[in-house]
Amino acid sequence: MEAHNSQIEARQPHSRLPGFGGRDEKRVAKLLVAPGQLLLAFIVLFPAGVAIYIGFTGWSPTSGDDFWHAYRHWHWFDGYWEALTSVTFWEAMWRTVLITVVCVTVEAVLGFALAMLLVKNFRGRGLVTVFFLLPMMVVPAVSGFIFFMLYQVDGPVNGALSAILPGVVQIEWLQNANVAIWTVMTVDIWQWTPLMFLIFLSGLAALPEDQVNQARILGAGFWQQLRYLTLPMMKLIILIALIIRGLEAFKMFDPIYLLTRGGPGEATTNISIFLFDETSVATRWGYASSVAILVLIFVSIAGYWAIRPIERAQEETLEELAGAEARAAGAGPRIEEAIEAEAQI
Amino acid sequence: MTTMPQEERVRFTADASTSRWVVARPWVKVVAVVMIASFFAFPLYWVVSMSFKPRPEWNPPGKVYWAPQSPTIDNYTNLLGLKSTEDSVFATQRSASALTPFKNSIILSVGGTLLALFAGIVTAYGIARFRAGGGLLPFQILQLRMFPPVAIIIPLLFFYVAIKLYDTYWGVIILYGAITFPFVVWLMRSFFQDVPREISEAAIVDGCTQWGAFFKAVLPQVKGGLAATGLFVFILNWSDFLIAKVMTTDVHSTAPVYLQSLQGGASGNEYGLQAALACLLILPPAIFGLAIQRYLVRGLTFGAIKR
Amino acid sequence: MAEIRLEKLTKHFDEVRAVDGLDLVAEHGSFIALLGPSGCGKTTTMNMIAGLERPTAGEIYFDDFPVSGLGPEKRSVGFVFQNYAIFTHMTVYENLAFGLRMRKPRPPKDEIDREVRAVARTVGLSEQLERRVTRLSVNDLQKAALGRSMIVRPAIFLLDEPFSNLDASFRAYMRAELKRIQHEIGQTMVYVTHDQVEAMGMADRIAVMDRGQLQQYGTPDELYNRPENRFVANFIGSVLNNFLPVVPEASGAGVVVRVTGTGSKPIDVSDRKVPLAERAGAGLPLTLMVRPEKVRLVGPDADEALVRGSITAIEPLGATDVIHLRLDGADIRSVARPDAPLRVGDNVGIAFEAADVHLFDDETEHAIR
Repeated sequence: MEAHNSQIEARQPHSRLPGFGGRDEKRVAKLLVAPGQLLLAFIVLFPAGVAIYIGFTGWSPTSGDDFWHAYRHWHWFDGYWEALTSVTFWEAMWRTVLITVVCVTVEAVLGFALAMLLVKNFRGRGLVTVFFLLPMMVVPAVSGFIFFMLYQVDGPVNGALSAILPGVVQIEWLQNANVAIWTVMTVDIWQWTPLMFLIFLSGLAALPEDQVNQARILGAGFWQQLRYLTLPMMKLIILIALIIRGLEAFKMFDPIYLLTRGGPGEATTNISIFLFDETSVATRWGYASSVAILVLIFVSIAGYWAIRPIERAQEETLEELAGAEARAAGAGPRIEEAIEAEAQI
Repeated sequence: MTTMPQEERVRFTADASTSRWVVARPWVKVVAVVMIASFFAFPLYWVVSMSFKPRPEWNPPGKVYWAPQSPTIDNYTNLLGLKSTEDSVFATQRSASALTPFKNSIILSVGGTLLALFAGIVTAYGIARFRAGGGLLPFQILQLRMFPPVAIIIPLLFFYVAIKLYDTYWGVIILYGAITFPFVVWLMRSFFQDVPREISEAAIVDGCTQWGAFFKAVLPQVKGGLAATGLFVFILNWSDFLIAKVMTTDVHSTAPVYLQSLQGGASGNEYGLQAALACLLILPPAIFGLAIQRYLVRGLTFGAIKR
Repeated sequence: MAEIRLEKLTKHFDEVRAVDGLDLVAEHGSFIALLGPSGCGKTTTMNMIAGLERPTAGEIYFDDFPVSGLGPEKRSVGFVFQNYAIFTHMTVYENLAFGLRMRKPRPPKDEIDREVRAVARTVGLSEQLERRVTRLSVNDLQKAALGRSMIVRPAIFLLDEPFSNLDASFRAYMRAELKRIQHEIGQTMVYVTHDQVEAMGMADRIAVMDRGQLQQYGTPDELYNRPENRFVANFIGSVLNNFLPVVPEASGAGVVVRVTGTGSKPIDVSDRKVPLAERAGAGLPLTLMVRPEKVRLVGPDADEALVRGSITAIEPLGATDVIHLRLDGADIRSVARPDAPLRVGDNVGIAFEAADVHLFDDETEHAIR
């Protein structure tokens, strides 16, 4: 009897600890990620399957056949071939890349300069930061509309230029095919420079002060500090900022649509606008699917190259952290404070 | 140290006037900052001031009204259908006021946010605490963010039409939830990682189940982060234009789509009305954005930068 | 290779007076220590000398040249930070070469290389040159920090608690090394520390600071044997010093003091200017300080015993033992050889020479000499 009792007592704490055994934990883990997996399957697997299928056809909802009978228009790779040999497609790709590169570069340089200006605490810094925060909060479609107003030929931008320059300035910001693409970029730059600014501000604020002071004492001037200290130490943060912003700029749609709808002609048609037009204006859904698949492939490859440096930088950081920790185990100081902040991704 | 020769004495008698301390005056910086700040603020000023301008001041040829000459709130009342004036072409052209699109915006954004939060929180917890899906899952989820939404929703459009989800609340809510789901995962993962593992283990030792430990011990620890994530995702959903544009018609479409539909109608652009609508659209994200200021960068960098 | 002169140097952070009217001269080629507890203003002083902080008032002269308007890059100082401030994204070589590479115009590559290798030899890092600094031990980080500052041959060398993170044996080694290097290059060195052993062992002269003010500036010998106030007396010394309340009284033509409440024999301090109230022949209470190493233990009934006490604890330090004693109303310490036949609980007589006694005014805390 006593032996029996003690057995129960011995087992009880164990049974009250679900999750500490390996099998249980795996089951819980699977359960936890299930809803997310379902959601992803719904918006990735289904559309991908549908797109691959429809992409092999020349189906259009105006063809008289419904979705289930799209196979009647089967034509294998004709859609892909059409896209790859289409000047319009490649021009749209080229514009997408141009917009992405220019926007992200300008945003990064401007944001970094601003962060350098504001990194030292001063009166009213909070207010200024809030000011810079606001553009980020604007619904992108709305920012497209705002700049649509600003860039009217009789609008305030030309008005301001007329006040400064001699004569009446009547630049056709949105109607001139050579100007419009740059006009479109200003919206993205206005809206997202603040993000770059905030990212870099937090990076600069986390730079170890002693190292900067040491560099000054060793005779480094402003540009030398920037070149040899600030930029290398912020490498990871800068990389993260560029990649994240680059991915977003690549997808840009709303502001362009509100500003120019891709026009005049196709002067501001990037890949997103191109796809949208093929779907909703031309209703060539089979062709649109082929293009969508092409874009997904392209982005996947680009994304692979984009994420790799982050992973590499993170490995290096972890290594440095491990080294710093090993030293800190003694009485040593935590050397790597800057990188600690960004050790996440 | 044989290579170290004796040093001449007066290296520091450098010209003091060249020192940056003497040259760089703070007001130079202040002027620069004020100029750049006003450059960034001007578009917002313009849309706000436009929303209070009467029609003749909207965009007359050859004249720019830098501020409303005779300010009015007619744009707002007309927009919301609170008042009908003969002046408003808009009122005759469209039966619906902006109230319906706003209602739709709220329903869809909130619904999408809740869905993303539910799926995202449990996934994030699974990843952070149990390493669910191995080390790769978070990156796979992140990769999703790289695809242009157009490329995803176009195939979905056929599918939606076929399964009758097209132009329904549920259809859009599911999409919103799925599109913002990666943000929730990455953000919440970074918050969960800040919670020491011992907290949930202690709760389990005290007799909680795994679920109990999660709800009673872990979730309260990330309250702030959870609220910030929720607001952040709401802002993202509220900002959507494309999905609502493609996936809905008038009945279920949102305020941004409505804004665009006002552009370039028969009567030309309805600047004042659009500006009023734009201001109303900016307001919620601006308020929420300032409320979660501290977490904004963290959110937009997927938790990579924690400030 | 320069004289540093601080005149009425003052730094206020809002309401806090971090440094308050500091006057100090560090002679050309000398090794000066700034010694004091944390928060005494020594690091702020150092930062002002380096140019990292601007003084609120006062002036700093390098060889009669006022420098407080110059940025740190123009002052030709070397600075070794407490946490080394090593550039973590560079190799050891790049760290050492940094100062030379910042020169305008930049020196030729082979010249930089020569200097880097020479300095690496001096500090003992020749083997680690190509390593990333994140792989270095704390000791090597310290060497790298030292070498990086040395390479630009600064006129003035500033070190901010450079050894506080090192392990004890390496610290002793580095102390000797630093002293040797200072002799070789002959620069003016200013060294900040809160460790009086370090300061005593290395510096030519020590400036003791407390609450932003200079307490005493002198050679280690002066600080040890002639502390100017109670703070300095207390701060210098390896074992906790003995402070006893005493009352002075007239004795014939001279003055004696007795340790209050212990029935001690009088100690003749006629050579000091002890203030006595004229009529009563007695003065205000004072504080007597005698260093533990000057306290001798004798038989309880010996003639030389001034006070009697009992041993409460014996703390062996290897070369010596610290003996903790209880008198009536006070605890004191003495240092004895480990082979002395002493046991806890023993009653002993306590003796010290009048010449080893320091007296301090309780009100001003100044020494009475």
